[in-house]
Amino acid sequence: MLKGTMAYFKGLKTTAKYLFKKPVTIQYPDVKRPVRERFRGRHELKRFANGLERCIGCSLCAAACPADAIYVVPGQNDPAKPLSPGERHAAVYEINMLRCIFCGYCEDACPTNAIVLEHQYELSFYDRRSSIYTKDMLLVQPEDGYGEVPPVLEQTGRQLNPPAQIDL
Amino acid sequence: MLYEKYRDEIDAILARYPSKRSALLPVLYIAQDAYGRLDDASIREVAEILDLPYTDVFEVVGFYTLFYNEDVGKFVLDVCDDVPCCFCGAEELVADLEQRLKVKAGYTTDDKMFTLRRVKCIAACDQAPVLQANLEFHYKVTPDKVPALLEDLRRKVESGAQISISGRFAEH
Amino acid sequence: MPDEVTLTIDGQSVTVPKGTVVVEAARKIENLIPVFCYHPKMAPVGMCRMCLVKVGTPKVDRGTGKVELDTDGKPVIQMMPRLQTACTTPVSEGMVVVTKDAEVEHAQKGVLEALLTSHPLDCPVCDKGGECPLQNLTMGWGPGQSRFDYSDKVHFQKPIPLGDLIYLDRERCILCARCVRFQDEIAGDPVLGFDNRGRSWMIISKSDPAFDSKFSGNTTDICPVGALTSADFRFKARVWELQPVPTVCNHCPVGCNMTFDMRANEIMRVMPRENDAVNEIWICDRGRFAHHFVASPERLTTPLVRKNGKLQEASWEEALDLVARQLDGIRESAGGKAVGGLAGPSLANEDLFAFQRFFRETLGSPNIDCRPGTALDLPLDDFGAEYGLTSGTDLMQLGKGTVVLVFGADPEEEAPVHLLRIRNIAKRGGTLITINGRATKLDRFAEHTLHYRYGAETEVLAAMLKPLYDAVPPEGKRAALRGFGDLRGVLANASAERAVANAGVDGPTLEKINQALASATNLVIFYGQEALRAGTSVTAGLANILTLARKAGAPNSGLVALVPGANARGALDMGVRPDRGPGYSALKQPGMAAHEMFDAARQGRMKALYIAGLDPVQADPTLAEALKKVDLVVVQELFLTATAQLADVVFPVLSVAEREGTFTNAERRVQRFRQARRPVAPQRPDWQILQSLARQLSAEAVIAASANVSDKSRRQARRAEEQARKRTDWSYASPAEILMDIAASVPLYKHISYASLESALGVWGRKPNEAYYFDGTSYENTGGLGKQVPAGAENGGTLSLQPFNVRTFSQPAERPWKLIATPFLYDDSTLLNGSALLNNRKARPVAALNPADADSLGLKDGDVISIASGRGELRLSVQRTRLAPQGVVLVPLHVQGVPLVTVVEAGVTAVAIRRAEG
Repeated sequence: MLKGTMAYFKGLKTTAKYLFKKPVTIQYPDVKRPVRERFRGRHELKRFANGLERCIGCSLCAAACPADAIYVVPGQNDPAKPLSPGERHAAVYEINMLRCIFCGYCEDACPTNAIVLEHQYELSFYDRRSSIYTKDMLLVQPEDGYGEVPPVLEQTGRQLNPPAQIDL
Repeated sequence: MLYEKYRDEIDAILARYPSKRSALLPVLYIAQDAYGRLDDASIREVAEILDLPYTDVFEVVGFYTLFYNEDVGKFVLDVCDDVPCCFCGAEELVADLEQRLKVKAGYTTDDKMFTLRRVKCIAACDQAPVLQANLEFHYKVTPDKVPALLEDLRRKVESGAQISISGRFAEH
Repeated sequence: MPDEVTLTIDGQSVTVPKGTVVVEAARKIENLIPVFCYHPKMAPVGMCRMCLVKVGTPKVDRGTGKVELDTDGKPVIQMMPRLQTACTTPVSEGMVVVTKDAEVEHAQKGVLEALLTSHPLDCPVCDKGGECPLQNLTMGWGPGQSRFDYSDKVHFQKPIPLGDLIYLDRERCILCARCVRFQDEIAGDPVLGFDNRGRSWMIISKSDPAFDSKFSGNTTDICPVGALTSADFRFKARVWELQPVPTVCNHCPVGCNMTFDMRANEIMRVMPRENDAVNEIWICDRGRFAHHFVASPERLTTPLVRKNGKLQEASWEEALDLVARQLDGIRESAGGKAVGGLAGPSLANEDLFAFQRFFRETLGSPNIDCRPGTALDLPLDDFGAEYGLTSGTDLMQLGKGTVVLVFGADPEEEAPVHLLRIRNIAKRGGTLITINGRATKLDRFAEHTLHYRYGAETEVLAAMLKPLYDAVPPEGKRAALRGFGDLRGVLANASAERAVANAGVDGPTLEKINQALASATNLVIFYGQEALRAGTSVTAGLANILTLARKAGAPNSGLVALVPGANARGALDMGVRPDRGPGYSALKQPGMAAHEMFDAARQGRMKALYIAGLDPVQADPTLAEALKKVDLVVVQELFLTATAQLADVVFPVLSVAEREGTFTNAERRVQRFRQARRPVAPQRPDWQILQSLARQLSAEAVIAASANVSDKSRRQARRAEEQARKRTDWSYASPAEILMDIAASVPLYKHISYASLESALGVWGRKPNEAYYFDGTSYENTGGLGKQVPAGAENGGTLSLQPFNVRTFSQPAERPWKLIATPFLYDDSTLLNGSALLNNRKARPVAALNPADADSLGLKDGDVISIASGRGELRLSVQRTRLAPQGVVLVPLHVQGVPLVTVVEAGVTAVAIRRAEG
């Protein structure tokens, strides 16, 4: 009998212990939990400091993608109004977020550090079609800064600047 | 036009060779002298005279440095700046010419009289420094000889003597 | 064997023919020496230095001339002091080659490092990336790190157009000269060259227009880097994303093997597919760049039915039902003879066979033709099949001892890849003879060239036939030639002198040609549109030359008729013609030819016309009147052509890229093309439309007029009956089943089936991972080589000489000029719809006159002249060109704004020319 009562208090003790501690629960939509530096979330297509798109439409990300989630259609830059340095740009750039496994191979394959898996993780859709992110959704808007390459890529020893072959 | 104007000369050249193609270099020299340089139209004209594909003739003109496909003066002054000439004062000669003609080597004077160029050995090292004016050799050209030389060349032009930038009248 | 040489490469001994270079010898034992500039189809130059190897030869004692032996009794090998280029070093007996050791590797690394000093390394943007020999060799043999400073690279302006079709990126170029050599050695258009030297060395093209060649696209294939890229494929896709689908070119009678490289259901590019018997590894620019008709937004998508005088969209059921009902009504009331059918020579064999079945069996109409029925129609050519190139002939193997006679043809415009193949025969030691009315490009490579006066073709042929005829030994042989006696009278007066006088040809050359013909081991005769247009006597004369030279049915010999259309030969084989059934079988009652159908239509006797893949109204707008008098006009087409606009019902069809089928080329090789693209609209293949109609109509199909009625024996009769019963049943599920039916009813095709066309055995071919020899993964032929059907003369039996007459054209004094219709590769045919890249190359609507003639008329370039024949008048502006012979005006065929049909007459058209007023 007493033993049973004691067990009751034993349980309450744990409750009491946490009663005055800061709760772990985060009020998710109102409060967002910060992710780790190397978290791989939704992709972003970065820009150079001069505003040009880093993506040159080379399709190497699509080639590296194990889930076949990326679709690129390249196009030719208008020399008078180029979208990206060099002759080539991505006319269409789509990622199917339902297919993507967030492995980050596309980042590794990218010769210009254009694609970066950022910290956005809120990816839910009402239909399959809206899981396809198009280029204008992925591309950093100029007013949001030029999408500096995150320090994590520096940590991994990647060149911060694109290799010299993409003449700027 | 070229053929009509130099018919005898070109026919004589053509007669020298078993095939028309062989006559390319001498006919190009004629064209170069006639037009002062070899521009697109004149190269095509030569190709038509010799029944050669246009591209073949452009290849030849592009390859040889003595065919000028940009504007040159009435005299092309080639100064050797290779080692033996350099020892004997080629750099001073070039500097002097540049100063007198008021152009840098590689350019043509404003009056379209002289084009000054630096060249590599032209095989007269024993007489260094050497200068060629329209392929005619001038030996041991020291800066003090330059004014007389230029004056002499200018006079040649004024006298109306026949001048060949291709060096067809050069004494070798 | 004296002609073979044994050498040792990396310790492995190999025996190869004399004259082979070390690279090829090594390749035989799968020792792949890296190369850039070497290409097996071209002479080696040793420009890139990538193939450096160590070479040694047995030491020979100068005194005795004997090979020195060491103590073991083996020959002493003397290594050459420096590395040698394996691509230019011919093998010799006892040679020792070392391809893999430290010294060679050092050299290879050095060469690659040097080549990359000026290379921009922009692989991510380069279209060659992924199939680039420079990438591959750098990965395999390269140094990994460069000692050169990146900032030292030479920079040029990024790609400059080398012509309309090809872009040059000078930074990427490694100056291997493959493209320059291709143009010089293979295409025969020396329009590429090198400008300058040293680091500013670069490729230029100064022809007018720039890069003026019909084969320019091939240079992008053989370019080992991304320096030359095609304007059509620039930044379209990455090569590893492409799915190549084997197909056959549908533009000309060569039938080049190609692939459609697909991505996301669109044709991204067209690449050649290796087939030595057809196109080696080349295709022409029309084949490569004129694929845009497939994806053209102007394609017909749904059936159209005329309602209230206007063509309106309708469902398939509605349209088919309407046509079936109306055809049934016409068949009932006016009989099958009131129905006519025209099916074009670019339809597949399956369509054509179904077409003639539909007409002869279902409708009971004998009226079918494969020609549009205009004044420009060519006579039907039977000699190309009867005396055709014998099966098993491979033009690529022919050389010494082969005489190639090209008569009245301009292969560059009519069948471009044949030009390369004919030229190659000449290069290998064959004798090329061109006989033509005007100068053609092929003349440049010919040993003997004759230019006859138009209208006097038969005079030349008679002079050529005469010595061959006289040389036939009297007994036995003559009896074996049917029609031998008939020729005697015709040739009685023939002589070289007469030909010289009447045809204006060069006597001594004619003499030499006759000698060459008499001594030929193999005889191949090409003839083209001008020969065909000149009348059957000309083509019969050529067939007789073959027969009298005793080469009819002989191996490696025969006629090749360049009849326009990808499947012109197939159309004739399938019996889409009024006078013969499938397989040239005799008909009880011949039907109307195309022009007769239109005549009948004008008189109101034609109740229905069914036109598939032809556009007669475009060629001759006056036919519109005739069509308007026909109760029912049905058109099957890709586009809303001028004819389709006048139709009552228009059926949209699938293009060559969206369906399966077979074509038969000029050499009678049946080849298969596959479906590359999903149809984007509810179009149907031609055969399926015909089958649907036939099913609705064939409740009581008429078998009476079926093709093979002349068969006598009972067994054959029973078989014919069985077949006939089978034929009322239209249950083809696929074109493969139609081909089975063709094999059963066309004797020539009896061994043809889809399975047999698929064999790719015996292709000369690359081995996998040899990509650095010949770039472009699409070269491998896995889709099948096709199969050649035998020529009629191969079956043995008595050979016949064809009726041949000498006729000289007599020019009426009031019309002193001759008008010659000249074919052009880039004309205004519907298959060039949407291929805007080729627009600048299209034939212009001008009348070509010799400068001397133009001077005599006082005409300058651009002056408008009136050309009047006995039939009508034509106005065109003048182009002065030395290509036009004197007394002749050349007018382009199938070009918009040139209503040739209004003036042209049978044979040669005599015209009067005067400056047009106003």
